[in-house]
Amino acid sequence: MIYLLLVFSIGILLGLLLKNREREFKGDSSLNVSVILMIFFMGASIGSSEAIRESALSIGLQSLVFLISTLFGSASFAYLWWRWASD
Amino acid sequence: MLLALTGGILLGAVFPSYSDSYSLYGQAFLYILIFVIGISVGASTETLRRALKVLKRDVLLLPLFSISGALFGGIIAGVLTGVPLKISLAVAAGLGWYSLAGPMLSVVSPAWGALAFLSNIGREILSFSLIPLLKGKKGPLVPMAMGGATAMDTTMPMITRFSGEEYVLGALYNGMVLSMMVPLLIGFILSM
Repeated sequence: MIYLLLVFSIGILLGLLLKNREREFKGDSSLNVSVILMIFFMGASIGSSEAIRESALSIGLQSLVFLISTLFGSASFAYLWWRWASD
Repeated sequence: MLLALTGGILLGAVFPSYSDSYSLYGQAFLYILIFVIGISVGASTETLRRALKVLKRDVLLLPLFSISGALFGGIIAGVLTGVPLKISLAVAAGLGWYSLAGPMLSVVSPAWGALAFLSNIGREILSFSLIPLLKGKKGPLVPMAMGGATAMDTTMPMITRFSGEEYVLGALYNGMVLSMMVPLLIGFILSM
């Protein structure tokens, strides 16, 4: 993960250098292709793991708990902040 | 996106013996993606600087509360499901960006990757359903916080409809800041 953060930082530095040449940088298409290939290989890793296939229901239920609690966590903190800021 | 995921799952199920290669290729594309995201972030600093000049304090500090709330929710979910704290926080730090959070957690384990992908894609879908139901009753900031990192793209039309046209820049700013924070937060949490 340290290497990922390093790669991210190098990207930001390059982006800062390129910021006046946004039209020359065609980042969108490479972003889309990388995302699709990455999702594809993530799917292949998931599909090749028998343990994950067997625990699909449990992962599904866990993700339901996560999506509800993170969404309501963000929403309630934002609501409390809005109430406090508008007083 | 779902086609790519389904195709990948089928490939993995049919040829499970190549699991190491799938993981390796996935990581290679993750590095490319993170690099390209970094460039986009660096190149969009001017937009952020402009937003910082005109936005009010309540919107400016909203990303802080969106992130804190999501991480708090992640801790609660971790306690309820028995998922380790570090993984729970990393899943929550996806902030709705499923296409990045899933593959980043796949580096640790494909099972955590699947959990991050599903919970973050679910967060986006649930936001689509709940933002219209709220009809702005809980204030203009809640729809932006619910949208998370997607507030700058997919959920933006709904946010502007239910929070008001004057919040377009706020939604863009919130989505941009959260999108910048996702790779940093997940990377930081997983390297702890």
